Amino acid sequence: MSELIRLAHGFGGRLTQDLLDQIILPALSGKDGHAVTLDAAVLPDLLPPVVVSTDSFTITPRFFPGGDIGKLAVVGTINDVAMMGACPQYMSLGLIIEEGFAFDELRTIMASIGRVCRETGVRIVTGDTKVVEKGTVDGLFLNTTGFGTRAFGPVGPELIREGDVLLVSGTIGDHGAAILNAREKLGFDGTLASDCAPLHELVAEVAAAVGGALHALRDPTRGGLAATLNEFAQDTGLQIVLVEEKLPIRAAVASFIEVLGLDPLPLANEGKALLFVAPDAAAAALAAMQKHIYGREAAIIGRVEKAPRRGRVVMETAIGARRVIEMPIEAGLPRIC
Amino acid sequence: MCLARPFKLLSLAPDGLSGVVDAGGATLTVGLILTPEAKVGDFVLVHAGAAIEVLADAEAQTILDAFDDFARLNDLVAPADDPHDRH
Amino acid sequence: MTDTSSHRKQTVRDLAAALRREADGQPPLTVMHVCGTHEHEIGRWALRQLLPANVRLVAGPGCPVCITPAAAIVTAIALARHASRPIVCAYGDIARTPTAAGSLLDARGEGADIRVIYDLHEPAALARREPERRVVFFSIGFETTAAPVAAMLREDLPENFSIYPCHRYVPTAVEALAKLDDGQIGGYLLPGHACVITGQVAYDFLAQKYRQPAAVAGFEPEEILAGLLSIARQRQRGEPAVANCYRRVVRPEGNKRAQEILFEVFELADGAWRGIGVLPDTALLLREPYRRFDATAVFGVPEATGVEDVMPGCQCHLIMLGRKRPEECGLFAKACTPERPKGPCMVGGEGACRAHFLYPEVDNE
Repeated sequence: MSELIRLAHGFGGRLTQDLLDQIILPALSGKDGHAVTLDAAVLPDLLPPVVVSTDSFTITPRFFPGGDIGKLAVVGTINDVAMMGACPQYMSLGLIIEEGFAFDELRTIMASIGRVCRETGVRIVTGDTKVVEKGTVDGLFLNTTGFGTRAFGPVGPELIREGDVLLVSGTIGDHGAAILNAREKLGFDGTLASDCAPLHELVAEVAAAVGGALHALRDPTRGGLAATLNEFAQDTGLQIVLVEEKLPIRAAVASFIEVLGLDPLPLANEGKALLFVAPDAAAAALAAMQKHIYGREAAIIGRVEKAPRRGRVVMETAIGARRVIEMPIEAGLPRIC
Repeated sequence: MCLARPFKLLSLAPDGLSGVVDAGGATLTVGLILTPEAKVGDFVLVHAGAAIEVLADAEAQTILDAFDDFARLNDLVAPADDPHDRH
Repeated sequence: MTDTSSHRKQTVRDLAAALRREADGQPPLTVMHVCGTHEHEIGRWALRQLLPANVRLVAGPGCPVCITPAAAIVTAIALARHASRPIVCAYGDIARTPTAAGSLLDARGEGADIRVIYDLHEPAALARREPERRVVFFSIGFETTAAPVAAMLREDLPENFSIYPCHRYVPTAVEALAKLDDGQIGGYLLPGHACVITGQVAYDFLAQKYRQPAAVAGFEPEEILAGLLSIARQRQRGEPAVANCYRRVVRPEGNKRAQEILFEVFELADGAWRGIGVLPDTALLLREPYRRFDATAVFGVPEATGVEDVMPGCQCHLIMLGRKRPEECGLFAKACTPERPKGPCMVGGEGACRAHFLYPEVDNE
């Protein structure tokens, strides 16, 4: 077998079968020896209401402290499904591979995917592989679509009320900082790492603790807290107030953003959730998160108020003045998810 | 452009022209030509990869105290000397 | 950590209250700062909200990216397009700054090799790592940056390295502003880190010749407020001086070694400031024997001329002189946004218009 992926590996013939048998399928075999069918799958355990989410992953560099594109592709979709109240059960996996891609690299990425699936119980049951000419994609693009039965909820921005409390499950900006450092070779190696982590159990714990008092949740990925909170503000027409002093940030990330003059709010997070909770349930939500391995640094970071005119996000700076947080505009940041 | 930041000097290169600073757990190499008097353990003000001044290791508390006095004492036109003031 | 942050909040409140007391019943005071980082920090902390109604803090031409002439950017692009395809290194903001002929990053999209750097030693290091390529450092900034660049130019440099400098000097620029002022400005907040190089003494002319209060200020909110309080008190006493409110960092005489090195490598000449025009003795030009590193000579690419600095409707030149606020420009936040900037103030990370756009003040409800 050649060391590099060739166009012929995508033709659907013998080489495609080799690719599947030797690289892709072995990485995905479930714990119970569940055989992965490929073209389509029946999902017997999926009861309504069904939550589905899809995402594509084009990140470079493909390997970074804390994970790789494979781990990200599974975790990212697990989290999208989890934010709608479901435990992700099934997933599809699409690969678009650039001609000349190294087999060893693909093997490592597939192993990563397989590992996350086994750890979380998610089963990849169908997928697709394409090989395209050199230069038409940057190495490897992945797509995952996840399916799960909704276990709690309903949740959504329409349930957010004036007076709700805003919580975050942990430190912000970890993923964005790690990727920017790795991509631009800024020399902060060793202290920055992506927070890439599956949050379905964490949010389920919160839902179990507070029930219907959990109104809405979302993971602040691309565009960070700035983008996600602005989306909520636009959807609800309410004013979301962030308290700068309460934002949990790792010391290494704080240093990094100080040196580069960056704002942490637009930086991506791949293992954090923002939650809107009714005020009397805030303490219980916080406690539930802090008990979980991915929620140890959870914090209450803001509240929801009536907006003077349109929905917007406002931050109380550490000196007590307020400023408006806009949708981030940085086009210059690298592809991060 | 990046705000200049104070970092602690951890080591000097043999020729003394550069050194390594502690940037919140990460290490950065910085040029020291403009601060020939910098010693290991000093805090240096770093701008775009170069140290431009050596600072006193003043505690945040002491610095804020000087500003508190400045606010209170109407006859001062600048925060007064503090014991950590090297200049 | 919490103790410091609540202490800081209290200190900031006390300084703001002291400023209010000082300004109470007095004529309105407009203070100009000349540092992009000051504008950025003021925006980030929403500091203007804490000022009394009759104290205004306006941004002067202190954003190095904003004031770099469009012609310099066009020249850098021309260097990148030289047949030998050199690598042109620049800081991120200037690489994004548009001109009528596009930006450096636009040129990268068309095949030029433009690399964004964060450290001024990186271009020479890159030249060492890639001996078969030529590397050009498009070097901008005020004396804070020009001094370490000068130090770098005095060390051993690889043969494939050259520099296209476009540096400006703040003290002479402030003198030009003080000359131009028609009585609107009541004091100057001086840039803490540029003063690390030049010292506060470089600004003695403000007190002695122009009878203007001035204060060297750092970048924390309490340091900026302290600078304003100093200026208000100086005005009250009728005793203008150049007060140093950043003593822990700035020596009165500055960093002498840095000054020696700066003026060994560079000399002052008249300089163009984007949107404003030529200010005397504000450009830092290479002296002999350092002219051998001048990229325009090395590559035989002359400096561009006749390049339009200001797009129609743009008010940056008035905003940078403190004569207009960003909100008073008809293009602000409508035709001119950070994604589609019409003028330099909207591009630079520290530009007045960009700072106002990214950190809009919460309107009083």
